[in-house]
Amino acid sequence: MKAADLLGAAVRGITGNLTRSILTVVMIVIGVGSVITLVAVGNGASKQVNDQIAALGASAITVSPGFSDTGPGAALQIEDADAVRSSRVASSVSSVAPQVSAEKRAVAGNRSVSLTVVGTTADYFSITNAVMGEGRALAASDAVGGGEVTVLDARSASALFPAGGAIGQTVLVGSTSLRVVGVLAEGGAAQQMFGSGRTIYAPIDRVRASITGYGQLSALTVGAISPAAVEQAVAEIRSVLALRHPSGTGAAAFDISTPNQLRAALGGSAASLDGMLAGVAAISLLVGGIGVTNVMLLTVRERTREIGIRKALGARPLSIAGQFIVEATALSVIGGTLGVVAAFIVTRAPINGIPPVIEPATVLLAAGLSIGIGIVFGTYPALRASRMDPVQALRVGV
Amino acid sequence: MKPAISLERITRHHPGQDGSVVRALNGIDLTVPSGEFLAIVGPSGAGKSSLLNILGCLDRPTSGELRINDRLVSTMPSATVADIRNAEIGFVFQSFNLIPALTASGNVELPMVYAGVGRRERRARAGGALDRVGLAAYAERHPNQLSGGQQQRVAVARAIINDPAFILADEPTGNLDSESTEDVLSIIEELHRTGSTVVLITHEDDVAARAERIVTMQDGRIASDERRHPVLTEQVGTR
Repeated sequence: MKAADLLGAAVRGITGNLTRSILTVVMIVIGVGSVITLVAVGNGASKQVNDQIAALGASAITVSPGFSDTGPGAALQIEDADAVRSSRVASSVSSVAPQVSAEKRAVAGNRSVSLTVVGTTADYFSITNAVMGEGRALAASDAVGGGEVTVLDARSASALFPAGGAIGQTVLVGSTSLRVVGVLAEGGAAQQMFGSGRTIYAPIDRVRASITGYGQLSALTVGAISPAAVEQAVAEIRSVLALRHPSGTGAAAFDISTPNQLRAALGGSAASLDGMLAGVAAISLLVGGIGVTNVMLLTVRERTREIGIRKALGARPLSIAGQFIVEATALSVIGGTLGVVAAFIVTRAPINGIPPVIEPATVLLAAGLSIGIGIVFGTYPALRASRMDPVQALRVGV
Repeated sequence: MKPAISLERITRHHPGQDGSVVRALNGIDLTVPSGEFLAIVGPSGAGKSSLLNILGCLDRPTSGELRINDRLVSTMPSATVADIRNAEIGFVFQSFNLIPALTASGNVELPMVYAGVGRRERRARAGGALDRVGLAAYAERHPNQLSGGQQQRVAVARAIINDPAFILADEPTGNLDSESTEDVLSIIEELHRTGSTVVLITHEDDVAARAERIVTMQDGRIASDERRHPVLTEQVGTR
């Protein structure tokens, strides 16, 4: 039996009971469509996480004192910041923002709120790609005039000034009064990633002089010259710090974290989301596949007589099986194609706030899946047909 | 001279409902020379259907040997048996057994599809066969657009399309009115006159009377075997 004749027989089989064929196709459309859509949602979620990390500053490196089994690692000094910034070794470093921090109560009018006071420099805001909601970030010039200014994050602003209008107001931390010059945008990347608490930022000299004292730094935020230079910059930072802390436990005395590490950590959770979505999609595909088996079993049963006739006329078992497998495959390929189209339409709009991303490989996957469904789920009914006893088959419905 | 069909000590037993063994065929020896018109008759339960299934290679004998055109069929693998059905046997059933989704031409072409004949040649040969049964104008009709007699003539055209060793007709007029019966029987007689071997199974005496040899079955055995037209039997072997 020739391939064209096999196809012709399959087409006649499909058009022979059009309603049932259409319903089967709809099952496959739902299966394949949901696979592509859910995988696209998973892709979209990963992309969103990556975008957030990028918004955080793709080249921002955080250096903090490490902890070893024997206790705290080497202390991070303000001179370390200067060394990293000015060292000739550290050619991949573009800027360094030292930070000190302390948990304090801040008072504005009759409100008193506990929050983290961070002393840092203007560079911190550029390295972390901070987005201002209102006002301005800290500037280099703030250090000159006594530095009694502050930038609030959105949570601190709403806690201290629920009615708004924070700019120009005064916040009292201990005995230090700070004038609010800016408020960070709400839901900024930094806050999403780290912030459960409230943070206000002030010039580091001001904070050290009157709030934290001249002890060690809490962290350095280092900007690499480009996202690609991050790993190189980390190596340079390690060697500079190792030189400055020879008696310490070496470079391991410091924790150095990069956006890549963050991406890896968050990527892991995105991958588990992907896996879950793929699982849900696989179930709907399986349901569609069982639908194909069911319909093909019905078809085989309904066409028992035809199978008997074809066998009597000399159809080999393989020709009979082939006819039904081609029929099942044709149904699922039609369903698969329409499923891809449906998925493209559905994913034009964001789903649950996530803009789905369809990758070209997904379409290939869908094509492969739909052919696979036809073959896998069409085989059992086809084999039943091919093994049918012609004597019994011809007796049906006489 | 090779016989078209030969059966040697054919038996067919199958399990009955109460665990007993039903001996549907109980030692059949039969040789059908090429070009013969043979009728198999007998009351229901005599084993006609069982013999039909064996002759049509739709069922395998429990024991004994079946040869078609001198090829031993009873031990062939099933795919080869399918090829034998395709090439050597032309079925004509009581209930026509045309495929409703196919046109008359499509039905006649079907045995050629399984023989691997190309589309164009199939069309041409199907047209010729339909012309032979007087239905050239009905090639594009579907079975439900044809009368019973016309459907059976399509089935006859389908039976002869691969030039088989013999035509196996099972009560071919059982569902037809007397006029159509006459049409179909005269086509079968005409095929016989032009050299075809015909095995016709019937319980109607007047239908059996058209054959040159009548085998009567009883209880799974051949009860009698008589030649009706000695004049015609002389032609055996001249094909």
